[in-house]
Amino acid sequence: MATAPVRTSDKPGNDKELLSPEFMTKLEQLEILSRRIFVGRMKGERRSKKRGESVEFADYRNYVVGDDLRFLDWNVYARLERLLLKLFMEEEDLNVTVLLDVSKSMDWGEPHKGLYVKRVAAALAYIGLVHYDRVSLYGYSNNLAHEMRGVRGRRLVSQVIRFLDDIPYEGHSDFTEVAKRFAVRHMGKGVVVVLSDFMDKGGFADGIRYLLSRDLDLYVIQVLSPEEVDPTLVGDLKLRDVEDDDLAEVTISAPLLAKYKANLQAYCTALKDHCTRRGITYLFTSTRVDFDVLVMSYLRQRGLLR
Amino acid sequence: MSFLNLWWAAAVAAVVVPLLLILYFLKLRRRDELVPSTLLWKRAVQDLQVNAPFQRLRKNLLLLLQLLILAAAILALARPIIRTTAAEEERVVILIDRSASMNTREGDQTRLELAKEQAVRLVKTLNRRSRGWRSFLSLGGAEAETKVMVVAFADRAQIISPFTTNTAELEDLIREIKPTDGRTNLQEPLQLAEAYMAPPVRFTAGMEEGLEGSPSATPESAAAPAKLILISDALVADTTDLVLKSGSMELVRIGAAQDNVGITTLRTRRDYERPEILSVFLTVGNYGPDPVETDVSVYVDGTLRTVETVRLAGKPDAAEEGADEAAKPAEADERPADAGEGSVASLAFDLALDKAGVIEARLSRDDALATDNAAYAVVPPPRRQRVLVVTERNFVLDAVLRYLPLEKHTFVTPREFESGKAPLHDDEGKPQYEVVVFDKYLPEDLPAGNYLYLGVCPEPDRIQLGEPQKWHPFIWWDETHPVLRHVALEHVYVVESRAAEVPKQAEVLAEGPDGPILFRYAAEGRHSLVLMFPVEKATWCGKNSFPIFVYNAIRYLGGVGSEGEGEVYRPGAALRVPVPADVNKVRLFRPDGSQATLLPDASGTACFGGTERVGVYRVEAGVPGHEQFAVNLEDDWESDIAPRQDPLTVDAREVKEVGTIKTSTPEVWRWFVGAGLVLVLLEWWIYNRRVML
Repeated sequence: MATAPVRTSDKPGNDKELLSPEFMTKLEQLEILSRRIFVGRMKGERRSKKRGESVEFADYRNYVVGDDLRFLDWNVYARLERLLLKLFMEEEDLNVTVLLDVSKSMDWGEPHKGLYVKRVAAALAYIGLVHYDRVSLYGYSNNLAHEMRGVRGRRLVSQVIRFLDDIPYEGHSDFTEVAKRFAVRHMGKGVVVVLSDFMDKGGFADGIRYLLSRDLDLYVIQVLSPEEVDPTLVGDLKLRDVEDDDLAEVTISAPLLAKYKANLQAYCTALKDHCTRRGITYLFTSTRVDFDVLVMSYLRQRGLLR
Repeated sequence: MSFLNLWWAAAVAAVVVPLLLILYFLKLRRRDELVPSTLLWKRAVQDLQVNAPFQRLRKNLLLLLQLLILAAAILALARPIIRTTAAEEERVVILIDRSASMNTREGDQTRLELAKEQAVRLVKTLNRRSRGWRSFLSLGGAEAETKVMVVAFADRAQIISPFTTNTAELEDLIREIKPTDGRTNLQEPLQLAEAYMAPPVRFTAGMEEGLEGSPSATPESAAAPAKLILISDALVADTTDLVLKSGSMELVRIGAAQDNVGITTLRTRRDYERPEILSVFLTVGNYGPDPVETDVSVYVDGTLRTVETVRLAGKPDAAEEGADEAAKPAEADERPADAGEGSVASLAFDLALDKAGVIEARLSRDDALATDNAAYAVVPPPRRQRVLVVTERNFVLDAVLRYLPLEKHTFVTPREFESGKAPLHDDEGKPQYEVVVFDKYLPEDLPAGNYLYLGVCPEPDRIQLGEPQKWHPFIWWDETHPVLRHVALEHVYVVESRAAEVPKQAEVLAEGPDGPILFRYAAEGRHSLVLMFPVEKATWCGKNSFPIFVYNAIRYLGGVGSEGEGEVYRPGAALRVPVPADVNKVRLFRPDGSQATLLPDASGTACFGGTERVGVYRVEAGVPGHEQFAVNLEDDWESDIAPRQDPLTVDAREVKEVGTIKTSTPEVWRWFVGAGLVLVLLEWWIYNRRVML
């Protein structure tokens, strides 16, 4: 692997590399799966149900007018004087799209939510690139502000990582709007992975519906920081939302904390149920879970990776 | 429970509690805290508010706790006391002892100050009763308030306040009680209280109408008996005659100090032969338990003349003393001191003093009771009598007077006396003779002076003469009187005498078979000693006792006698101040420098009864030689300040002792402070652990 370890370059205090070389080697052995078979536009390394052009012979069939003459088996014609067409196993590419939330709320937490999400995105992108999938990355907040579409090939790994590294955390998240735009623009089929905290005042249901309308193989990964799961706040507080400066005056008390946790649980369960019912794979993770564990273990269990 | 400082605490509460509430009414200053999203928080708050009907209350739990903390602190400030003396009686008489022993210092305060403090607390306590919460609960209305009467007493009782419910006025009056150096006399305040405690008589309406003169109008008897509360150190000399007819009595005993050394006697006497020599005699007693050594300094007119050091053993154990007292029957004049060997020392020494002066003996040692650390004596100037004898002829008198140490004695006949040969006063009005002897001659219109009548009776309009008696002895005579001291009259026979019917104020010194034949009588400034028979007409003149009688009589009348010389007054005794004839008011200076104006009565003397403190009382514009009066404590009972072990008995009953109302009852306010601290901890815990109900 010629790619040098990529560091999150010019951000002070954030010098953790998105992917370490050792981890990259591990990622080599994985590939992104799709439960559905899509018709790729370009040849990829993926064996398709479609007979197509590859070195792997599949079958013969009779020539009909209009077939590509290049695939005629001239040897058979010489022997049998019949025009037979060689059919090969088609190897196709896969559209792998990662939608990662880079709103201000992701710039939070210890371990950092945004970095965590970027690492997962980088890992997925790396796997995709290694297997010649078409990888598209979108960093969104209230719109699809940062995108890198249709990247293929291992040589672009460093570019992808730099792209991810350079996405700033800004704006408030508006998943519905973003999903709508994405659905309009993204014509192809493939695997779509949404990485977000889903702390969206507009809700998640509409956004998911937009994405589903495109018949995509959808993965939803909710990432929360430990501080959100188990708050350590104390006292009489004026809580200020980092995204929209919304204020909530709270006096931290045991019942309030219990209520908060119950609400969080309910929210996550609602999201999960919503996804499961629509055939979407949902995965919740706290940033406390090491992201390599998430990638190597949880995502494989969920069937996104093999 | 009641409070000593209620109003002050209420004022603090009035300021602090609204302040706290205002702090809460003002918007709570919340700390800004950034969170990734307020989404869930808002929902949680909303849910909590919806689900908790007592949300507001919960929010204010901290306020509630802080109010409780404040309340505890303010209650502690209010100096709560647990009432020890609950008076169920409607009327309470507080007797405050202000005798000399109450001047004993107990720490920073004197016993009297402690007693006054106790009385003030008692008054506050008593009258709070009716305003307590109980009267709110018993809806029948407030109970009648406790009426309090305050009597201060030493040797005399003084009503500080009659029965009243006015607490504030009572407090002021109690605080104004002045100390005295009198001795403790419990009888008088008891009688006084008894008189006031008689049930108040209320008359029914029929009596007021009075038209029918209804005899059925009956006084309503007061149901509740009165209670006497004695605040004293209970050093009462004589409790046998004390009677308490009604009501009950309680004693609040004040005082614990024991250490006292006092001068119990100071006497001075001029040597008769050499009047410029003054003999000083003084007694010093130690009433404390430890042996002491002290210097006795003697000052004459403020100048130190001599210092004597005395060593005194400690007073014997109180237990032994109690056993002694139990062994012997209680006597009226029983004194507890003098029992300890060596605890009393007597000093006697001579001083050369050829003029008038004030002797002051002072102990150098500082002890609990300062009153008896100094004693005073007023010494008149050395003086020899000048005697005028008005007689036709009397060899006996001539012979006697010749050998008496007199400055001069003059014999004149009655005719010469009437012609003014020997005027009784000089041009300035000063008397020329201390004593004038009239022998069988009665002049008319005598000025003030000292007179000895022999065989005649003055004041014929006041003194009736009886029938002449022949040849009789003396039936009775007063041996203790200075005039008859060392005078033996056993074998004296009177040839002829006439007994006198003397007025009440006369002092009979000797009686014949028919009545007084020797008496002292004073009227209108004339001080007379009357012998109802001429000296020749008795066998007396041949006996040794007659010159002694003349000697005594002249000394007595002339003011050099043992009684007249440096007379010592006890605190509370009345001073009789002779006033010159042309002066209509004199000023008296008390030992502390304050003044009083005295008005003389018709006999040319002024009386002053306010000798409450020891020291030298000085009169301005008085008769020379009678211008200063020494008032000394000289009382074993008052000097012996150690608290008695045995209970005070009145009317053969033990007086119940009640505890003092504690100074600040620290236990009680500490409880409140402790509760406040616990509340503070609880609040802190709740605030930190976010635990709420």
